[in-house]
Amino acid sequence: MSQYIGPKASDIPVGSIGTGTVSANSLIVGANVAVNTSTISVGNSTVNTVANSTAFYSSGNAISPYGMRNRIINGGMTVAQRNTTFTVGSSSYTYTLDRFKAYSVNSSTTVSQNTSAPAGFQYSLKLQRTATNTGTNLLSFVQIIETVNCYDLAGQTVTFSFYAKTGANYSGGNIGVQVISGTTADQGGDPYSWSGLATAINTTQTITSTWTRYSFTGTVPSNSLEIAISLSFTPTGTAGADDSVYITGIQLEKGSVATPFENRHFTNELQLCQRYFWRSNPLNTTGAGPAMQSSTYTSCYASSWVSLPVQMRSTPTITQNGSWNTAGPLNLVTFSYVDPTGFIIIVVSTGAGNPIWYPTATGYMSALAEL
Amino acid sequence: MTYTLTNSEIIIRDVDQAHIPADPANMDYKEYLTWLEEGNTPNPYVAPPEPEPVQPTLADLQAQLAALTQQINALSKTTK
Repeated sequence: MSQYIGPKASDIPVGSIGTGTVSANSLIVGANVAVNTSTISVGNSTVNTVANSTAFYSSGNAISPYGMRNRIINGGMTVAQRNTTFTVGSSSYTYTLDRFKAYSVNSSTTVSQNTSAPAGFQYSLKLQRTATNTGTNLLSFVQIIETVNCYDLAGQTVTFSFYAKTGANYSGGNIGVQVISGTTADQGGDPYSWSGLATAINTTQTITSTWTRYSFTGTVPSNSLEIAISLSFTPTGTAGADDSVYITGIQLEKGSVATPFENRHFTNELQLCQRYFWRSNPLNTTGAGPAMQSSTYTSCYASSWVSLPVQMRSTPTITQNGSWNTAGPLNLVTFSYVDPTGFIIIVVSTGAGNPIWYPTATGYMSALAEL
Repeated sequence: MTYTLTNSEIIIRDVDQAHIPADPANMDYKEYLTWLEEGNTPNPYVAPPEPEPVQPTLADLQAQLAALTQQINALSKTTK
């Protein structure tokens, strides 16, 4: 015997309820339901209906409503493959936290991964003029976006947002905020030397010692093939103990709305970074990395393929960094057959014996395909 | 900044022994090309020293002699 209990879900006249409330422990909806209100209250939360969502997405954020909105990689400053503290070379770019490179004419500028961060963030990037330094030239850091990841932004409205605060002894005025574009694909290098240089956003912003989120909107030129973001400040006088700015949560997205910062899983963020830089063993781990040993009767030529975890942007530069142990009749270690997916280590011995080559605590291999 | 050629397309940046591939998209290679355009010349490739000839030990020679003796004996049987 069956018993009919209440209406079928598809028959519930939701649109005619008006401001009323439907109370139930559960509601199984077996068909499309038309909702004629702007919001629906679910428990303690309010959910936008499609009508309001359409208005939000029509602002230009509709392209990637499900993720990967942020064109900036490592905007939360979580990935630090190279190191966590850097001395910025004078009048040249220095790669710092992954994907960010810093520039300063001053001889004493540092960048570091710092644990001071706004709620919801673990790290910030600290750009600092070293204490007692008297240089008063601009300090800046930039990130260049690969053409393939910003091609669709040409001619579009973009919003640049970040969290910032000043150090306790900040000497600068307003910080410089720029979104730069060029007309050559992946020209890289110094963005301020790009062909067809233009600024979609070029302004300044007062920042305080309290973490605050700032956002700026502009239009990328229609002939743009490359985009970079830049943040800078110009110090004055003599640097105190903490003459710095702290920045995190950097986001560049399509549209005129600064949506919440896009938090990605660390693995995803790391892989995005490894398209541009890879090191064989993580920072502060020892005894890892490639090693080769061979037992030879006569001179030998041993080789081994190293597969990179992510296909890199270009054929990378391969460097043997830090200190390495060598023993036996080792004649030569070289790297060849390099392509964006890997490279071959070649070890040549001088004669019979056991040529050995492996990293010490500071040794690691790196592959660089940055812009 | 100086560079050294290798026996392949790879160029060595002397300051850090970085192996730079001849890829126009590689920023280090772009810098190298700019450096060339400025009139600079890389250091030539220098082949590594030849491996030292290996001196066989007495045991090695005895083993070779034993192998040869076996071959000679085998050939002698087949030609009788």
